[in-house]
Amino acid sequence: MQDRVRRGAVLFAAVALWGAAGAARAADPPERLIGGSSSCPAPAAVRTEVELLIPRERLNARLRAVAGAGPPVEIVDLGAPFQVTAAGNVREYRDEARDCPYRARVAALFVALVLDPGAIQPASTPPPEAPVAPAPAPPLPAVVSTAPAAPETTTPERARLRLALGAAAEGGIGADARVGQAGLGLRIVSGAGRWALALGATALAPVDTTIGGIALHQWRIPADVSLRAQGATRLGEHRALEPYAELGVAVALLRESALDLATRDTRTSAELGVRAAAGLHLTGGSRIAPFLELHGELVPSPPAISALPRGVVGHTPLVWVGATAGAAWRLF
Amino acid sequence: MRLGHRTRALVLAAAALTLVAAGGCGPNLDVGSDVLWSATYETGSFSEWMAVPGRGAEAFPEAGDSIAVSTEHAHHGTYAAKLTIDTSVAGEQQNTLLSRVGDLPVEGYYSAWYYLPSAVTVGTYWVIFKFRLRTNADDESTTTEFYDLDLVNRAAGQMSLILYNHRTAVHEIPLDVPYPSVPVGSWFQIESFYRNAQDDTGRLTFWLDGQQIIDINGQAMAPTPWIEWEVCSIGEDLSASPAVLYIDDCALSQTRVGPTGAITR
Repeated sequence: MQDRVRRGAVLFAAVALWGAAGAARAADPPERLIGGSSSCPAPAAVRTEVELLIPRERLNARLRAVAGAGPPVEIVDLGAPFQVTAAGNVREYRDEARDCPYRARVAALFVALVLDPGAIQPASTPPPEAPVAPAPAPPLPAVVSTAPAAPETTTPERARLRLALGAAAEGGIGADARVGQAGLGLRIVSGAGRWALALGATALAPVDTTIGGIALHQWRIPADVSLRAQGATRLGEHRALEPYAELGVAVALLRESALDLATRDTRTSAELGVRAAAGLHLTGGSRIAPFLELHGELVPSPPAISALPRGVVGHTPLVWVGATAGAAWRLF
Repeated sequence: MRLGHRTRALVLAAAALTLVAAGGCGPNLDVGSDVLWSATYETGSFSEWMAVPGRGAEAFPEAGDSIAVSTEHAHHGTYAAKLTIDTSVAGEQQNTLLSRVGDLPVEGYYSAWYYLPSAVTVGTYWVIFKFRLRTNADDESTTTEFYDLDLVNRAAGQMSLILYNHRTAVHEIPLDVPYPSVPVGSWFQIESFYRNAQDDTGRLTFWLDGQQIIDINGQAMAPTPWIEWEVCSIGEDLSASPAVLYIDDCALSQTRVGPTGAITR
């Protein structure tokens, strides 16, 4: 928890200072006072970010003041962790996502705090918790830390177009029928705002069932067009819950085949219904987010099943309830 | 989604939901039939009987005995079979019948609708529904009578039913519903379930207009799988003469037809 707060503060301060520094971006000076073997972040990228915090002349002066045999600032990429050394102060951060621009900003903030803490004064914001103890002007005591790196603090952006695929189970309930089916559900959702449009279909495996005493082989493929209301709740630095609710029109392709009548026929029809659903996406740094959805469908006029000599023996289910669980891909 | 789109989508969704909610009857999925065979006479002939194994339509021995397709009364549609027997010759059996033999199932429901235009005084007997058997399935000469369902007089002007077994010492089998009332001047349905088992799983059940009137269960039926089913007017010493009986909507089914069942689409 402390790390999360610290990480948030780091980014907050970085963003604030970044804005305060304006557009004063400049190229590296010829002398490479910020070096190291790191490719993520590249020393040049760190230099660019530091110059947003400390004016170039002042930065060069501070770097020269602390320069020894090697570069006064050194960046080492250790995979998920990366190490920043500034004037003998060492800090290691962890960033599983390997977001290089982000790493560069974090490293720059640390460098700036070590070299010129007076340059960082986010006056209009609450004092953030510093990632390291502010160091006095050089010569500086060495600060070595292996604490976990500051995590990302942004909530993942909600997808504009999302494709969801999941395992589905449905149960149909009616006066004459009770049936359970399982299959695969596919859903595409367009809209990143509060409202989105959802189109979905589920391929349910055929099942044997009985309606009004007639044994049937039933195949049902429901599809729907729904309006989705969606929100988001942050769970932490990397994760967010995106709940949603849907209301729409459902159409199901229904195919019924008699199993044990003297003369067996197969009939296909469409069911028209109203569908409601509620679900959750658990989003993170990845494009893929797991989801769980509960849904129900009301078919006000379910098809009748008839056979000679009895005539109409019953109706297909009036209500369908089910659940789908799977993964959603953020396409855009 | 911008506000305009959203509003439009909401309106469309509301309209669609309203349409769904106001939807009428769902479609009817006719998935098949348990009716193995039927005869409605709507071809104006006995072709339904003649197209399957059996004796078809027969009337004998007198010239006054006749069987024809008629439009005078019909249970459904236009036509019914009209069976007329001349019982003016005392002590002589008169016969009109429609018969099925051969491809009958081990068990099934046999249904027919009858119309008595007027009450008849039954002198000796009047059979309207019967099963026959063979003691040797391959030997025609072993064909003999089995169960008859007979019309009888319950009281003057009132008709009823009895069950008659030719192969028991006491021929008349008491019905579970003694002397059920058979209507005159309106159609009534006789339906039977017959399982022709040679062991103690045999069963014979009769319904009159949907009411079960007898159930003989747990005993052997015919000694061989061969059976014959007849809807008929076979009588002796009936008055008035000729005696007329109409028959319509005959069916053989795997499930019970009942008074409300449909035998054709």
